[in-house]
Amino acid sequence: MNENKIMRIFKRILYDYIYIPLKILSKDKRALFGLIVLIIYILMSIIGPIFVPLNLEPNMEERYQPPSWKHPLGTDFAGRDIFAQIVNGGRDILIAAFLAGFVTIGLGTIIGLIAGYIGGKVDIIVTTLIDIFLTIPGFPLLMIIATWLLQSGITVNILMIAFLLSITSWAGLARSVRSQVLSIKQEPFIEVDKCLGLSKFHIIFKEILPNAMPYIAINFMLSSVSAVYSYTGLMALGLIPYTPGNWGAMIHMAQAYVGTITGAGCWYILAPSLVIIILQVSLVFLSNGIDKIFNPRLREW
Amino acid sequence: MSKDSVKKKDVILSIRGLTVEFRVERGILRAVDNVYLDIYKGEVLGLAGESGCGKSVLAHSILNIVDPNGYIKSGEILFNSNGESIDVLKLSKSKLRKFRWSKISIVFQGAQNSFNPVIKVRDHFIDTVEDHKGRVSRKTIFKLASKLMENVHLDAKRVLDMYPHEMSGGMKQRTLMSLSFILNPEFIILDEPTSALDVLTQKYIVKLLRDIHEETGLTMLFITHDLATLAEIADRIAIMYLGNIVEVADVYTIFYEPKHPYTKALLKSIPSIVGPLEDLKPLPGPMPDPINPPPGCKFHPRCPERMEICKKVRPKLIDIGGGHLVACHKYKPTK
Amino acid sequence: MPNPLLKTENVSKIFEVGSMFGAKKHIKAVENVSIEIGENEILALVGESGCGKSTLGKLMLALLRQDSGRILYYLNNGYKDIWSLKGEEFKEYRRNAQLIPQDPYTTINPMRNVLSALTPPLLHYKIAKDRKEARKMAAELLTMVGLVPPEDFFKRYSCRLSGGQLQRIAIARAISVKPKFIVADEAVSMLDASLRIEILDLLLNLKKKIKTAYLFITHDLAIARYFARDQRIAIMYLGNIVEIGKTEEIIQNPLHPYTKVLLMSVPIPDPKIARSRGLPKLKSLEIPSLVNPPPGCKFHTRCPYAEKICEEKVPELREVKGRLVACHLL
Repeated sequence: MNENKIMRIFKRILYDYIYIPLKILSKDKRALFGLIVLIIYILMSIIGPIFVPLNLEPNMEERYQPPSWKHPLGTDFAGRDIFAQIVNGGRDILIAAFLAGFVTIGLGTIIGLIAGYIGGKVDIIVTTLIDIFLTIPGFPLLMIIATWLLQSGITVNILMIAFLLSITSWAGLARSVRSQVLSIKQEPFIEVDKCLGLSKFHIIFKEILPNAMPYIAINFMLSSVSAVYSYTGLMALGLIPYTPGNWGAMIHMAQAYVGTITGAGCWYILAPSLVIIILQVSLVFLSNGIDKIFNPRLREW
Repeated sequence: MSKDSVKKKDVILSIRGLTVEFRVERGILRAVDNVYLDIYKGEVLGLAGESGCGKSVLAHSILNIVDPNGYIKSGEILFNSNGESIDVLKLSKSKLRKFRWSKISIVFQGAQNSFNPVIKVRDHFIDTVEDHKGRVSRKTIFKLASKLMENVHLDAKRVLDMYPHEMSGGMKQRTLMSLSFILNPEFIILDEPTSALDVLTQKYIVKLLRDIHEETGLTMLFITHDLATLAEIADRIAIMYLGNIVEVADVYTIFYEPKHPYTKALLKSIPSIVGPLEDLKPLPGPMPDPINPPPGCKFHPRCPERMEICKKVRPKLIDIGGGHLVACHKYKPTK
Repeated sequence: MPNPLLKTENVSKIFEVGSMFGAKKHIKAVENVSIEIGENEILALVGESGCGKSTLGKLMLALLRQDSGRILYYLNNGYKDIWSLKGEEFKEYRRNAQLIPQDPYTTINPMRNVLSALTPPLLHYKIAKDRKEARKMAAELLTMVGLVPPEDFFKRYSCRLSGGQLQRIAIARAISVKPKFIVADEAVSMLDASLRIEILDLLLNLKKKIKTAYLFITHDLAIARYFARDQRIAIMYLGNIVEIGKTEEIIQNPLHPYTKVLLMSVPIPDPKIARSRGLPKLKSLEIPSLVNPPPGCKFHTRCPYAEKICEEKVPELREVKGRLVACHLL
């Protein structure tokens, strides 16, 4: 590949995947707000820990301090800086959430596409599977699995967590992708594609999939939101081993040691809760704008 | 109805300066643009034009039932009956309700949607009559309904007990027509009454309407995009283009001696099963954007006979003799 | 005709309708149809909605599979059943049988732009050797169908194009692989009246450049007469072909009672003629259901000339006065 070609591909990626989406999002105020907040969170997780290192040594004189210059968000039950914990805890949460989001939409999309396009017996088997998973309550199942893992002593890494978090959420997306595939299959342009000799692969992934993309993209955002709640929820209940500084862990500790919303030490529970809620809200706002990126019909030009 | 009988007659409906606009994403769409049209008592007036020309909106405005996105910006619609003249647009809600269906009736496009799917046909008749005339004996209603249905070749005994979904498209359309006539309106608007029907049923419905018209002298406004259908039933035809009326004349003049370039081009672009095929010519150029119509005469970019003035000044609808109205700079009004 | 390009032999198609728990109903959409299309000829297939003409078109394109009968394609000096073709032979048939659908707004993928609608088949059949050449060819195709300048259209999506423009793109797609046979399924029915002639003229002009046979499906006899002038028309009723022959002969002198009634009912844009025509005599206005079609000749319930034999025996297409008609009374 010569230089020219590389330059061209780079320019195309820059244009199609960065410039255009930004232009689209900039027209929707809420989506833009969501994007900015998300970027702040990501930056905070990546470079934050360099500037605000985590110091987990207990410092009993400074317990439950209210916010001050030295401790912007106050201190916890052991006198440790809350702000540093927030900044350092973001990494795990964001990675787990987005990874879980990807697994959900990956599983859901592939399964939905296969069931919808192939039809017949395969479809019946898959649909039954989807229905079973839809009826299993997600969070309680996670709690059970988490407790079992805790007792079994298996070390849990982030990828396993991501898969676990998506254990039931893929089913909803699979079902709606499948029904979209079923209806798009009948459209005249698919018939013309068949006449033009285009391969099944092309039809499924290049013609049908783009039609389902807006829904899949929004589902990604919402799956991430759900994964954040599941993850921090599990930790808040103390069901999975955590690294200190993790937001869910903070809530868990706060419940154990402080447990009040007002008064001394309230920052220990408020800080992580607020930070989680703001993240969720920004993701939801962003999901509103995502629709326009994947659906050219909604664009204004 | 022959050519002569259209001359000096009473005007039953007079549309004056009607403008109807719609708020859409890209701006304001003026669907009906300052339209003046008189409809004479006892005539069949055909309103023809392509999709998007505003004919349906015009029809709905007569009964003040414009889509929620739209609003009547200006104009009056005067209905003359029993010596008095009422502006339909100024009627109060309750008076308007009484007015609709008893004075002016409408048969909508796509008959399937006009019925309530959960009640039988007989109940549609009962509801309609009781709504307007209060309690009337069922016997009277059914006698009336049966006679009307007989006229449209429907077996009343069978049809009255049916639910709408049990009927075919053609049956629904004919039932709707009977329903429109039950209150004996003076004026009926038919919006694409034959579009969704097969050709054979279409022919019958058109003949039926002609017969009903001959018998009762009912005034009809027949809206369609299919000019050929009007050749059989209309007394006069009005041609609409992008919200304006561009030509009005009796049916023979429109087909044999059209004056407006759009009418001429339209007639030349309709294939027929009779006549030589070489005469057909497509209309040049694309249909302009209705939100930003061309300045001056809206047809000028596609007009083979355009002049300088056509680009700047919108032509008014003028009488060039014998009730023949044209909106084109090439013609001068007769004094 | 000598060596027609594509022919159907006694082809039938039945659709099953009904729920899992109720009795399944069978709709005989196409029944026992045998027609031929010669190279570079136009056959207009005329009938009212529900008569099975679209289904027949799709069967000939192998988009649906027939339940009985064969569809034969002329390949390598012989006829082969299209469902028995494999490999290169199937690829050759597939490339030569294209479709122009009815609704311009769903003829290209609404989520993909015009360029991506045109280039895949060019690359797939290696008509263009790379993306750059495919782009050039796409520009040529758009110019051929009257969309100039072509570059203006590459990045547009179907929501920003008009019905006429979209139908031209549909035509560009169909001709891009230079097929020998195109099925135009009500290709102009959803366009404005003033546009139809333009698109039909475009198709006729293209036919002169790229010799293609057309199966032109329509419910409008006047349009069929315009497009298939000096060619052939087939009239279809409830799944059967009832009359087939030269266009102008059928229009001027219809033989089958259904064709006669149809011609008497088509609106004519001429007041003197229109107002003096009588009403065709029909026994009934109701179209029989496709689930329980009438026995014998399907038209007998409405035919003004029906006799006893018409209720009992299905008429076969026989040669009468130089064309094929399915009627007992001739």
